[in-house]
Amino acid sequence: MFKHFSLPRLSFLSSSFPSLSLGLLLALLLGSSGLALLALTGWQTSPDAGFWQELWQDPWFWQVLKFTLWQALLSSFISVLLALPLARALVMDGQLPAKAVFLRWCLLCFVMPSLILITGLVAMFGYTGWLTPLLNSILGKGWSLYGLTGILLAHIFLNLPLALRVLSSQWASIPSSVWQMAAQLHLTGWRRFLLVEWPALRSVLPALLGFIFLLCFNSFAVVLALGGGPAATTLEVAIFQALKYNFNPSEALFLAVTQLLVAGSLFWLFSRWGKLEWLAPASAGQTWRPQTSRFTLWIGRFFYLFIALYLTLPVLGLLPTAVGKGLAGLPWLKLFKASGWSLLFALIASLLAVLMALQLSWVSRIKQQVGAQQKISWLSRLAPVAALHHLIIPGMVLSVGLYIFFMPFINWMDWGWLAIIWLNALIALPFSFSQLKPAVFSYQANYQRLAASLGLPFGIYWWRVVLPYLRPALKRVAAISLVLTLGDFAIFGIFGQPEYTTLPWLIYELAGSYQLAAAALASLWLLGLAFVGLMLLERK
Amino acid sequence: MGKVILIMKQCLSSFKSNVKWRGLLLLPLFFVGSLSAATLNVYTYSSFTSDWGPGPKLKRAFEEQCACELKYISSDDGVSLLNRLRLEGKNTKADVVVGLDDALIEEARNLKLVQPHGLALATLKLKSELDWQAADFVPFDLGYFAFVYDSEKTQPVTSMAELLNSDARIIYQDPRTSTPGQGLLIWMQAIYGDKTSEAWQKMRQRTVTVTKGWSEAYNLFLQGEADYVLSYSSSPAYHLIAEKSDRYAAALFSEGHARQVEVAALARHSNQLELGQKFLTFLLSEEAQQIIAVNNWMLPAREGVELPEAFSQLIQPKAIGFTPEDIHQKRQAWIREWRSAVSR
Repeated sequence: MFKHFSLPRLSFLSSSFPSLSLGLLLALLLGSSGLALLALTGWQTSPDAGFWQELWQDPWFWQVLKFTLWQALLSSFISVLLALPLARALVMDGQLPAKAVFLRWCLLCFVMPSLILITGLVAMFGYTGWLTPLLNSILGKGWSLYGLTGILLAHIFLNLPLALRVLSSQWASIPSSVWQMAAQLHLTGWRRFLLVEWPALRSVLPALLGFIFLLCFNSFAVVLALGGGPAATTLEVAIFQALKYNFNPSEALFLAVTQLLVAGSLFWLFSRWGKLEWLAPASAGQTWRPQTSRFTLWIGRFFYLFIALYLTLPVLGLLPTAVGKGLAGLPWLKLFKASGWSLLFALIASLLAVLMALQLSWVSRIKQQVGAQQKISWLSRLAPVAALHHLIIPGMVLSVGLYIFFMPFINWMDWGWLAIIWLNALIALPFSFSQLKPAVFSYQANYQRLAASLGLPFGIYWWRVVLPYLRPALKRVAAISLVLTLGDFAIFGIFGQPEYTTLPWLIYELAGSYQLAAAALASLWLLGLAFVGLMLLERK
Repeated sequence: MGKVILIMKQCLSSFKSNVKWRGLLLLPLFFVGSLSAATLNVYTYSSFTSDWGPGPKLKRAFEEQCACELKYISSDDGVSLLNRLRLEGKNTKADVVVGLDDALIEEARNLKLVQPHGLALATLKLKSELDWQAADFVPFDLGYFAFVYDSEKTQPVTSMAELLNSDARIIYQDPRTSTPGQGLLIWMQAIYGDKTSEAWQKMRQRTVTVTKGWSEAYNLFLQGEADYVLSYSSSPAYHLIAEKSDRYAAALFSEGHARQVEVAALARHSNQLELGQKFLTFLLSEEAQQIIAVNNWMLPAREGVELPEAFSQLIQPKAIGFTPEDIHQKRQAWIREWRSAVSR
């Protein structure tokens, strides 16, 4: 019966303005990566005809590829598996203390400079780490951080928090009415899980796994340092080497394309496996959650304690180094200036990312949504590709490619800041998009036809109807974008200028000039800054 | 696909000609700019220009005597610096390039990034051990790669052979991603020649981990993760002067040490030649050499520079290694050899 009312919505969507701006956005997004890759193809340095074939036959290449895949798979599955029970507990157990702070802390793990993460983990688990004697006595002398263990510990540290955020918000989105109905039907335990909770998780789990998989696939400095040597290398290291030390863009391009194909097709497989499910709209007011059994409750609490310790101790372990030399050694003026620039860039870039994600998720519709009869325009089909593909293209390839391409026309010394903002927005976009999509989908499924039938003007419709509904999701997405862009290091390395040094770059400078204590302190400062930013952003 | 690229290229070239026209419009602005004091653009690496590097102090000292403005443009490190120059080609703003090293000289020459400095080398009082003849680059500091240890915990070894046969734990940097790592590559080749592969395999047994850059490695070492870390023979000077601690020292190896010479040159497309020459001469003045030594923690390239007492406590290694031409030619093969020896 809704069919009759859906006409105004269609006319609104097919009006020329949105599709024009959408086309422009898609052109910008796909164009950026297209031009970057094109620039690298066009760059002729010692064209090595046999290179592709040679690399193809090099056992080293296959070994690296295998290892990259293996560690990424392990990291993503362990991160998600560990996150599941805790995410559930965070939603179901009303008595867990300091949940909001904990969830904010979770996001901070994203900004942590890899140098600091390595230092923190080593302080706990390294040869002289303070947990090592304990581990040795449990495992019988054999404990060594370096190797797959170290890589997994670091990747779980970085990605488990992401999984927690995503899964807990998904669990929380199950409306009270559904829980109540399940209770009336006396569904408990596994049956409740399968009928009530699983559908909610199913929509995000595959994409989440795919996401974490890709993040670990592209990881590099951490893998090298904690992997214990070049036997543990990812493809990214080879790209870095090709672009930097050999300066052979065609070699880098080949590796990047390989990475694009392998990681991209895996990601595609992952995301095909999941689909967005229709959820009843969340009711306002008191949320009702069923009682959980004492056993599950305590398991959840144990996980909470255990994971909270795991996520905080490496950072706390930095404190002695950081404060040991006193606060005087820190260049406060420089620190404030760098913080200002960092915040400015991060805020603009994340605003940009959120807006783009909103537009793209609004138009990227799927078969289920429009029904079998209607056709999906190719622009809408392209939207998710445009939003997500930046996750697979290595940031270094994108940056260097764009740098080369626009060099004849743009003086990067004057306009580098523009590239910093744009590229950071591109890096944050896949995260924002995938997080925003379920909320937008649920709005469209529940309210769009109804709202469209009111015939409100465009501005009021968005301001009064859509935005209030999406606000919580938008805040969540903005928070992720903010920490991602705040922690950027690689893009600044290519486009940055000393006049607007950002905080991560300052930390790197400090660490490179023997100022390790100051670097640790500045890193804690960065974490603090991100924490305050999140607090303001997620304020009720 | 080829057609698409062709069309793109045509679009590009038409765009380029547009840019020229727009450039004409900007010409008056250019003249306004050049009325003020001359600016010298110095391309260098970031730890040189950071507050803890020699950059800011050198800038102050040079601007006092040149009636000009010195502007730093910094890259990650020497290799990024080279890449930036290569990418920018004719569009570069560089007048002077500071911070390439002897391993990169040959590549910079092949790419025609620099031009003759026109200075009389004899008047610069360069260290005789450098035996410097180049007409394009001048050296401004040098350092010996060395393994640094904690003297409170470790009895130092006296040769690379002894190190490889010991049960010490070592951290070094990846030669694919860092300058010291590349230094070790050269060092091992200079000592072991054809037998380097076996030496690397021994090294692998001793290795705790290999890091992307110097700071990760040094940081891990200071945390106690290894007995030796690959760094410079002058690293202990930092601890002596800035921390008043003689705890850390560099091990002197009887085979000799690989040496890194950092160099400066006039950029090929610079139009500030005279000022650039002035800056190069200034870099080798006694004042600048002192600033560089205690801020970049490297050794002076000039003879007889007065330095803090700590520098006389440093080891005095014998230099071994290869010519820039050799390094340029063989580096790839060496890296491959290292890679297959240590990743098994």
